[in-house]
Amino acid sequence: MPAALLRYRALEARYATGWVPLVSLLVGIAVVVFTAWLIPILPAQVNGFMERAFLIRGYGAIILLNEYIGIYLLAYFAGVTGLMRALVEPRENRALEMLLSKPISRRVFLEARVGPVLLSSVVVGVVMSLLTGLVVRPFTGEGSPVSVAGAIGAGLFLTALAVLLLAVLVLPLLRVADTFQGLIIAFVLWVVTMMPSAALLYRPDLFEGRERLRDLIVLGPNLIWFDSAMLPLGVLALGVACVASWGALVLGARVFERTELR
Amino acid sequence: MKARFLWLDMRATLGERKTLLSVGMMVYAVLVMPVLVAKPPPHVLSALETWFGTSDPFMLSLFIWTDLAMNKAICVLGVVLAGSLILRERETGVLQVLLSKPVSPASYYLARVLSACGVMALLYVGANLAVAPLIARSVPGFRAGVFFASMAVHLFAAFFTVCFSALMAVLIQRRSLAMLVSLLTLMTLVGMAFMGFYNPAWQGISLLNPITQGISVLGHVDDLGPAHVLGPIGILLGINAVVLALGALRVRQLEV
Repeated sequence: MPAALLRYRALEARYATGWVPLVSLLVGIAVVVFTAWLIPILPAQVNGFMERAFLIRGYGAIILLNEYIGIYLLAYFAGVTGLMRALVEPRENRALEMLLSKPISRRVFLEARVGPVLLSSVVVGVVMSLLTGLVVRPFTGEGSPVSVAGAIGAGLFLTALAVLLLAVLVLPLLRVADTFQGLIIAFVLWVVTMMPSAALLYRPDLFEGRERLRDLIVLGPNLIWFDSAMLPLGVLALGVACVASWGALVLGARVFERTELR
Repeated sequence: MKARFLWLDMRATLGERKTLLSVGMMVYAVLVMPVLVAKPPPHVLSALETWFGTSDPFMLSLFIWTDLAMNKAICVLGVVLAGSLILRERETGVLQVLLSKPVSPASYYLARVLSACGVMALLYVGANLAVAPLIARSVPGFRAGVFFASMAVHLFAAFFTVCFSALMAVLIQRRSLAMLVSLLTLMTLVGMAFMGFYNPAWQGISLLNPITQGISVLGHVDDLGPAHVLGPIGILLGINAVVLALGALRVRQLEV
């Protein structure tokens, strides 16, 4: 790659991410530590309720359930914010035409801006996952349904899912000219993946006789039910997410080529 | 003049695509509600008994609607409606033109935030009017008075999300970062809103959370009096006035 293009990519990466990854990372670390401190001091009825509602057992599992939501939320919304800054704001400020007047193809522009955003989401998710493994360690061991490896693997799995959703989100965001329109689309996409967990909480009867479907779509609790399989699954999911993101970027570049800049 | 500006600004916001998408989100929440409250499992009713002193299915519907639907909705809607106030005008160069008119930056900011609150109120009241008959049909013993009293208090928590997002926008002055900070802070406040119910020892400190003030009627469903409604509304009005004033002060120092 020519040095000028490398420099261009570095500049775009710095612009596209800004302070967002650092803020997300600091908040993420605080969330992991705070959750691990809070859950054991909650009244026994609250933790008992979570155990019954989500079919889990022990402090370790309850801590992990809450940590998983935090990892998924931070990795996803850090990426959403980055994508808004990288793709939607220039269109909103009518600066896209000027940015693309350089001898840079739309594909290169897209890669240079979206790639670092996805990478920063991975970093946020991976750091939070490793920290989660650390804080849950005192609650693992013989008889515990959760493990450090399982916690890290599940964190990586959720990070991969967040990156995958972000890659999917690139396509609608290429056509949106308002940051907050983009935010609603992003929020709805995230909520859809969390709805089965709400259904398990308030309508567990909907899953009676459909245990396989429940195991597949109830995001969060299902990662605890299959704790022992999570490490290889998480690493694999992260690999798949990288390949799928590349595919989404190629597709996004084609869509971008045919998109009006105003 | 200000009333006319407010009205025109509200009309403009109502016509935006982001408002239509917000309506779609609210419609989704309304349609999902009857499904979620139709057949509560025993452990959920027993938890309600512990936290709120009743296992009335109506109480469950009020809890789910407040926590699962409206708390999350006001988080996002607050940011969507007020997360770019002033910044967008500044970035597109419109602010300079606007401020050449006989309007101060602070009063322009206040008018825009109040207009965003107006749009929030319309979306909020609309969703509640739409969901009430659906819940009444699915849940025995629906109490309309308690439902609307609770949601009336919660509406002022919704106004808080608007005022807070606007404040973050003018404090941080970077649209995406302000959006992220507002969203994470509001989600944390929502996540902690019921802590005083889960652990009565934390009730005092949890009342500092504006969202907890917004859901406080849930603790008085069986002995609801005017003070349980007007008290938290008064507190939330005070908090919102302070947040608005801070935003207006910041806007006065903003470089155009």
